[in-house]
Amino acid sequence: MDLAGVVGMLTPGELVWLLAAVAKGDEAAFERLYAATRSKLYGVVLRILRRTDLADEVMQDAYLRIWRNAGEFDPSIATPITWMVAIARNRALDLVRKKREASLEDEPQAMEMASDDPSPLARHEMTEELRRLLACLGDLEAERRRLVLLAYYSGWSREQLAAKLDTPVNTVKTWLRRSLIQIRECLGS
Amino acid sequence: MNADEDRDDRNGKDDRDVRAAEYVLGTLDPDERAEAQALIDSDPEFVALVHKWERRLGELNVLVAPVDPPAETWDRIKARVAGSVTPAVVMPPEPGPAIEAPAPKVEPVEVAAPKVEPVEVAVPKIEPVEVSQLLRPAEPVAAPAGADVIDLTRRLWRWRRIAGVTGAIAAVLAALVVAQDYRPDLLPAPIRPKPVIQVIEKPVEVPSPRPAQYVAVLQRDASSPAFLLTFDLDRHSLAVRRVGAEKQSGKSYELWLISDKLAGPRSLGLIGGDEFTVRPEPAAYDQVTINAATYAVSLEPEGGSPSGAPTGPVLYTGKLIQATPRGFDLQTP
Repeated sequence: MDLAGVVGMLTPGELVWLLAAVAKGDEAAFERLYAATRSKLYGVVLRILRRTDLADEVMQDAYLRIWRNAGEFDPSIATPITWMVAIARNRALDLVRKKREASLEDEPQAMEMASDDPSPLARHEMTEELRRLLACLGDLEAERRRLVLLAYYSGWSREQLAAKLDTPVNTVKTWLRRSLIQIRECLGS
Repeated sequence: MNADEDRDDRNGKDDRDVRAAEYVLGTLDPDERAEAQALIDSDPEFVALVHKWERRLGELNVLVAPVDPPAETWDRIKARVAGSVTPAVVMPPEPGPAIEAPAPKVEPVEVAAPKVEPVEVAVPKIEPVEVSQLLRPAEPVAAPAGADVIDLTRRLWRWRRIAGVTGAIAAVLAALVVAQDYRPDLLPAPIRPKPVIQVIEKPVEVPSPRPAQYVAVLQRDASSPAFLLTFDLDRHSLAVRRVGAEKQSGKSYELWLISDKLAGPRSLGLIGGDEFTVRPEPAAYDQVTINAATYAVSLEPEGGSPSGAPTGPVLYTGKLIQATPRGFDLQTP
């Protein structure tokens, strides 16, 4: 039994199946894959980019990449959704790093959207992996945990994190490093 | 701690691994990020490190609230896909009917999780006090698509093995862990999982008239019933009542559906430690399959079978019998 570790989506097994069909050029499967995953990926990239135009751009790039590279998906390495989210997040991070701080402050409308979160969190089930990760994050000191989560969810740079926590960038760098090593050791893999 | 950290800092392997981790996390500056990308293009070992971190941290995406993109996004993707080189032309010979079939409400195959409606879906009610009770409200559920679904589940079976095994109990435990141990301040406000954790005030409602109920006695021999399994077709749930089975510390009882229509036993989830375990009815199986199947309980490592198939001894088995005539009102399993 696998509870989908994903929101409002198909089970991982179904997504794997869809990806396999997409790898063969099945456009209908691709559309279904998009329908099942779009809101998760959009939620992830919009949180990082905070601008709908940029998020739209990243969604296009990400899904084009998913379309082309579906055959590279390896279910022994990742679940379908972590694979797809990683692709989308990476595109978003590339873009936001390129634009540096510019994208954050120049679009008040987008800021509003990012902070205002009216839609209920969609259903999800926590996977065992997530439970363990959260337990390990819980072992971090509160500030360091915050760094990791802000970096993951909001895509903040070290500079932004340093400004937020009113800490030198080098300290942020050291904290991130130690936190990540601690998470790795805690997860034991 | 400091000594440990100093040692970590001297460890050159960690430099690479932390670089991979920070690449995944996104905290590398543009130059470092470009270097990391160059490594990804040229160094399979580094790629493996990145994959590991994507796996470690990637689970966090579960807590991101989904947002529906505008419809134009899909139009643009479609246009770009049409203009791109198609990887291949072959369709799988028989596309899985249930995946193809009645959109948008696709019932997840194995554990009945709520329907595909990314933005405004019903949140499953998770009772944070009694771990063993994963209740689902008696919301209208599309009838299983009959034989189509069976066919799909067979098709999916080989994928399911690799898709990972995660129990509903684990989900409830996780909800507990997050709710109680980590307090909401763990997570930045916008992604707090709070809405997911809800206390159920009362048991699932009992609508009437009620359809027939089906019961299986799971036992080793005729004199030692261990579990009573009840399918509640109206509430789309199944209930397992512990009768004679002993609690096993460090082990979990897992319930399986065995049907000659299916390639192998299908997990129906773990049986909790309390007297009753209530679960959503497995939407993947049609009535004929459910009625004809054999049910079995195996003893698995805590948290359930790691492989998706029974690994421990099968202790109890039984088949369903109709226990009540249609319309008979039965309050408890």
